[in-house]
Amino acid sequence: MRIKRRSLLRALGVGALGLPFSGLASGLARLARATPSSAPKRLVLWPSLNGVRPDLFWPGDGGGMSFVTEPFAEFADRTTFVRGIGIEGSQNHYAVRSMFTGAPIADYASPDPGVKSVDQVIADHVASTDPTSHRSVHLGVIPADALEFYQLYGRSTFFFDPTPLDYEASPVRAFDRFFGGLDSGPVSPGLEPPVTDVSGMRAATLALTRAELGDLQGRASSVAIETAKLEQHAGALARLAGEPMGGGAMMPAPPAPAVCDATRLESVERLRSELEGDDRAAYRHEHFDALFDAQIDVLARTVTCGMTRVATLQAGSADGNVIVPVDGGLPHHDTSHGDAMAFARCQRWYAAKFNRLLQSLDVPDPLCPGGSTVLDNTCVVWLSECLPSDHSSAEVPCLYVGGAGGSLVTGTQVTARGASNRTFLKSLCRAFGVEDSASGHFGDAAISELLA
Amino acid sequence: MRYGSLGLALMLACTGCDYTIDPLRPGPVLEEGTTRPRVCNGGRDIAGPRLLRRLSREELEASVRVVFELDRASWGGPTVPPDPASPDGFTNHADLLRVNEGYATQLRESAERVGEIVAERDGCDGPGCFEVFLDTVGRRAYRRALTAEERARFLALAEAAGDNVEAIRWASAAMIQSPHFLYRSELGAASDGVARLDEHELATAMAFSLTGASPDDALLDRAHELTSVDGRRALALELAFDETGAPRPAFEEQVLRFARGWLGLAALDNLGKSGERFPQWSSDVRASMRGEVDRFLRRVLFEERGNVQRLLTSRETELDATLVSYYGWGAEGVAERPDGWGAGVLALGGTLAIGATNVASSPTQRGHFVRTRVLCEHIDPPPPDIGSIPEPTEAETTRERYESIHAGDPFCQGCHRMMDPIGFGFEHFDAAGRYRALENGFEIDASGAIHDRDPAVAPRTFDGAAGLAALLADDPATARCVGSFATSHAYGLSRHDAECLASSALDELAGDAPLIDLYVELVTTRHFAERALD
Repeated sequence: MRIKRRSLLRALGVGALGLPFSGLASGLARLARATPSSAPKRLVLWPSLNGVRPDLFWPGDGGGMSFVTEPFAEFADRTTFVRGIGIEGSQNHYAVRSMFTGAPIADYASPDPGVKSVDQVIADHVASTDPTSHRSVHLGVIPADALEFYQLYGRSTFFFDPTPLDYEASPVRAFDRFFGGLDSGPVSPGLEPPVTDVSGMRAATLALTRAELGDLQGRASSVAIETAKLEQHAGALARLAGEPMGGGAMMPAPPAPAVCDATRLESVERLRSELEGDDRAAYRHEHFDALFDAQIDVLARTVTCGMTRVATLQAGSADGNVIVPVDGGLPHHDTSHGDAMAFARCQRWYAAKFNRLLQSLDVPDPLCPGGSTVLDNTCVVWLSECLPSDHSSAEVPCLYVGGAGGSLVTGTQVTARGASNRTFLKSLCRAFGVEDSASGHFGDAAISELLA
Repeated sequence: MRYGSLGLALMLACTGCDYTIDPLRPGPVLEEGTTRPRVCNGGRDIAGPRLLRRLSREELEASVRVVFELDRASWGGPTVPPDPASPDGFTNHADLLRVNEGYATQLRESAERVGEIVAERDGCDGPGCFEVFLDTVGRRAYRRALTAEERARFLALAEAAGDNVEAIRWASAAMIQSPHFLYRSELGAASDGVARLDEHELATAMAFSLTGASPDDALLDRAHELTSVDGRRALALELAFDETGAPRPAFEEQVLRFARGWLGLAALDNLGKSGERFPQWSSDVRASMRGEVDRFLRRVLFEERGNVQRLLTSRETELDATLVSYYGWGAEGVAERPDGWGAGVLALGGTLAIGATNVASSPTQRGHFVRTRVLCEHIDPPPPDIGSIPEPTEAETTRERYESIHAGDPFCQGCHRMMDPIGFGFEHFDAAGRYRALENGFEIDASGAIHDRDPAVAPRTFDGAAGLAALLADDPATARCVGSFATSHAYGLSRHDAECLASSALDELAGDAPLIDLYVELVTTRHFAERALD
C-alpha cells in the first residue's frame, strides 16, 4: 500500500515534504486512502506534553511538515494532521486525564474519569476478537520527576481501565518481562521451563487467592469504598485467570507469537547495569535520552511481533521538569512557559524520538505477509493535552501516522475546528472496528473525514 | 502548570484566587482525587473510617523481609509498580493504593521469586514440616493465626505441589498474594455502636505506623496487651525506643519517611540548575544537600529529641567536604551556620534549592511551602490561563521582579500576598541554595510579612530567614500543622482528616512536646482503636 501511495504521489509530482492541504488535498487524501485490509491493526498512543506553539506544529498552507514534525518527514505521506481538536471539559495539565478518556476533569483535585481510555476500549475489542498474549503495554520514560511523585495529582495518568493504569518506567524490567530468556534467539516469551507444572500451580495459587479475597469481600461488604477496592482487585485476578471482565468462561491469553524476537536490544543492555536493582535509576534525568530509545525499542518489538496490539508511551509528566537534552539541557515544563522557540526545539527533539518509533515499525508486518508494513497496519497517535504558555486546551496538536490497515486516511490534513477530542477518539474506535455501544462515552459523532 | 509541588507557573498566578483555610471550606468535600467524603468536619478525636489498606511498596518489601526473614542480599525487593503520591506528598494513602491487573501481575512475579528463594533456603523433609512452616510463617504473614479453612486451603495447595520444597515455594507465593497479607485490615467488629479493632488489627496498625512493616512474632505474642490505652502506649514506647531510650532504626526510618515526604525532598534527586548561572551546581552537590537535610533531621529529631520549634530554628548543621567547598564556610562536621545563613530546616541548601526554578529563586514557591506545609493553610491552584514568565534580568532583583509582576496587580495579589512576602525572607539564598550578599550588585531586601487572610489584620513582619523561623516557631499553628502531616503519614489518610482524628495528640505537640513523641501518642487516640460504623 505504501509503495503504491508513494508512486502515485511521485506521479503527481508531489514529494513527501510537499503535500498540499487545500484544493488538491482532499483529492490526494482520497487517493491516499487504502482499502481496509484484514491485517491485524495496532494502536500506539504517544502523549506529547505541553503542546507546541501552533505555527511551529501545523504545516503551512503549502503543506509539508512543520518545524517540530520535520524529523519524521520521511513519513509525511502516512501522516495526518487533525486540526481544531479541543480537550472537552478540561484544560491545562489536568487534561491529561481527559485527552484519551473524553471525560471532563475540572481541576487537579477532581476524581479520576471513571471510564476507559481509548486504548482500553480498543484493547477490549482486540481481546474479544483476536486476543494477544499482552492485552496492552504501557511504558513510561521518566513518567514523574521522582519515584515518590508517581501519579501525583494525576499529572501523568493518561490511561484508565477505568482506574489508572500503571506504566513501566524501566526498559530493562519491561524487556525482561516481555522477552525473558535472553540470548536464546527467537523464542516465544511466556513459555515456562518444563521443570514443574508452573502453570498448574500458578492457577492453584490464584484460586486460593481468589477464595481468600472472597472471604475478605464478605467482611467488608458494608463498607462501600472498600467494597469497590476489592471488586477492582477481584477483576484483576479474573483477568489473570483469563476470564473476560464480568465473568464468563475461562479464556487464557494465548502465548506470544513465535515471531517475537527475544534477543538482546542494545539500547536496553546499555542501561542494564544502571537500572537493575535500583528503582530510582529509571527516574534519573541523565538517562532520559537512553531510556527513551530503549523504551521505544521495547515497545516497537512488542507491537511488531503481535505480542500486543495496543501500546502507549509517555515521556515525562504533564508539569514535570525532565531535562530535555536541547540547548545544553532545558527543563521541560518550565521551558513551556518560556521562550517558544526553545520549547519548540524541545518538541522537535521528541519528534526525532517519534521518528525512531516510526522507523522501527516501518518493517514488513510478520503477521500480514504481503507487502504492508507494521506501520501501515498501525495508528500511532501524537496528541497534546494543552498548549505551552497559557496551557489552553483548545486546538491542541494532534496527528497520527499509519492508517491502521487502511481504515484511516493518511497523508493529509483534516480540519475539524471546534471538535471535541471525543470525536477523534470515536473515530479511532470506529477505525478499529469497535462497536459504537462499547465506546458510548465518546459520544456518537466521529470525524468522518478521517475514516477510509 | 504545577500544583502542589510549587511549580514555576505558580509564580504568576494572577486571577481567581480563593484563599481559604482548610477547615473553613464549605460543604461536603471529597478527598482530593478520590470519591471518599472527608471524614473531618470540625470534630475532635473522632473515630475514622473502617478501612482496608493495601500495603505500599515500601511496606510490602519491609513486610516480606519480616515474614520470610530475607535480607537484601538474598532478595532484591518487589517489582510492583510505584505507589501513587497523595496531595500531601506521601505514597501510602489508603484510597490510592489499589490492585489492578498490572499490579496483580507484578505482585505475582515478585511473590513467585520469593517463593523460589524461600523454598531453596527452607525446604525440609519429613511429616509435619510444611505445617510447621505454615503455622509460623503464615501467622506472620496474616498477622494472626490462620483459620481452619485457610489452613485447609494451604494444605490442599501443598498436596498439589508434590513435595515439601515445592509446597513451601507455592505457599510462600500464595501468602504474599493473599489479600490477608496485602491489605491491612482496619475493619474491626461492631460493639456498642462502634467498630473496635481486634488485638491483631491493633498490632498491625501499631507496627506499620511506627516501623513501616508487619508486626514481628514478639509483637504478635503481646497483641493482647494492646486493647488498653496504657498497654498500647507501653508497647509503642518499646517498639520505638530501645532500653537506653535511643530510637530504634525502623522507627527512625519511618519518621524520616514522613519528614522527607513533607519536605518533598525527592525533588532533589533530579534537580537541575542553569549551568550558565550556577556552574558549581552538580549531582555531587545535590546528593550532599540531601545528606545534609537527613543529618539535620536525625540530629534535631532523634539526637536532640527536638520539637517542631527546634526543627525550624536550630542553627546547627553538619557539612561534608562537598558542601564546605560549595557553601564556602565551615569545616566538615557539625557547626553553627554563620549569620545571614538562616536557621532551621527551611534554610538548608536542599530545601532552598527545591523552592526555586533552574534560573532564579522563587519567593512564591518558598512562600507557598510555608503557607501550605508549615501553617497548613490552603492556597488554590493557579488559574489555568496565566501567561509566560519573564526571564530574570540583571537589571533588577528577584524581589523587584516579583513585586512588579504581582504586587501591582490586584488579581495577582489575591493569592500572592499570602506567599511572596513570606518567600522574600529567603532572598539572601539563590536558586542553588547558597547565600548571596547582593543580587546583580543590588542590595537584597529580605524583610517579609505573614499576612492574615483578613486584610484588615496587621501582618506579622520579620527580617530574613532566621526572623521568619522565629516567627513560625512562636506560632502554635506551626507545630500542629507539621504534626498533622506526620499523622497523615502514620495513619495513611489525608492531612486534613488526620488533624481531627488525632486532635488531642496534636494538642500535646503544640505544647512543646518532641515531634517523635507524637508517634507514641498516636496509638492512644480513639481512632487508633475504634472506627465509625457505616
